[in-house]
Amino acid sequence: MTDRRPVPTDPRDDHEVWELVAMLPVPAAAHDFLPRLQERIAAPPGATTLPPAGRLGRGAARIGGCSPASRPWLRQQPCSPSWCCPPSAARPRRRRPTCWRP
Amino acid sequence: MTHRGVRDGELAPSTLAAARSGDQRAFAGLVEHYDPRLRAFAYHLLGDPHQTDDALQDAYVKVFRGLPDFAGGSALSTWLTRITYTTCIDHLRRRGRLVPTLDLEPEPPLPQGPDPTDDLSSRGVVREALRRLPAEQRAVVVLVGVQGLDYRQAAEILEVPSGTVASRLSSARRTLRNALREDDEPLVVADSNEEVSS
Repeated sequence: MTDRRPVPTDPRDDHEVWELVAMLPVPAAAHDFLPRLQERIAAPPGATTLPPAGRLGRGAARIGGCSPASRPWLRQQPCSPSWCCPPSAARPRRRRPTCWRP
Repeated sequence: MTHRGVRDGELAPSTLAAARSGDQRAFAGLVEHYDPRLRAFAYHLLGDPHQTDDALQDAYVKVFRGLPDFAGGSALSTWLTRITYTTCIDHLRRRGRLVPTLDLEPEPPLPQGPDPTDDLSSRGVVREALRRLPAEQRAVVVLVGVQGLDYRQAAEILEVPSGTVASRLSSARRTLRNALREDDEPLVVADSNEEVSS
């Protein structure tokens, strides 16, 4: 690209540039790409599938943890934060001590 | 190296008909047929292999759901590329990265085969310059410059006037050319005001 050949006026004819772009490597699909896709299209429209790990996983796990569907053994019980949420979340917040003046 | 005329390699009508009727094996055939060019397009837009996989997954699900309603008013490849483009733009918007980023991933391993050392530096420069282009210009570079679509086809995919495609390609070419220059002199490339041919 150090030569001084005239640059084509029509950008479509600038094959030198476009062929460099075309030579850029494109990564192959993940090994589970097609199976994952087939799983998604087999699901009925509107059905949610598990999100990919690491992106939405944390939030979905948190939401799923409070869903009765994820805890079938508790399905008959009314949802209550005391059993549905982890103990740390259900624990009452410690009140800040009131200001003490001598 | 360029793939002139995306329409040349359309899917067999019988496979398309089967895929439209919900045949998942035929649909897998459709995906395998069009995936290389759609993947290249999506990867150059998104710049990340994982995002590319995610976007293509979303796009193919949309395609599968929309196939029964595909009227054939445009070529199947045009329709697929259009869906891929809008899905990639959605992903970029979600990431807030319609404007290109600088936190680039390392270049993936090069495919086996002859690879002239002279091209490596130019390729790296082009790669970096391409990623710094706005997404709309990157799309035009891949569609017109690499895949060989004409302005009208690219305009149909991007849903912009043909003149907009031409001006985006001209701007992108100027940027890439300037990046490839070793000296700091700005290269003056005349804006192409040629008539739009289809």
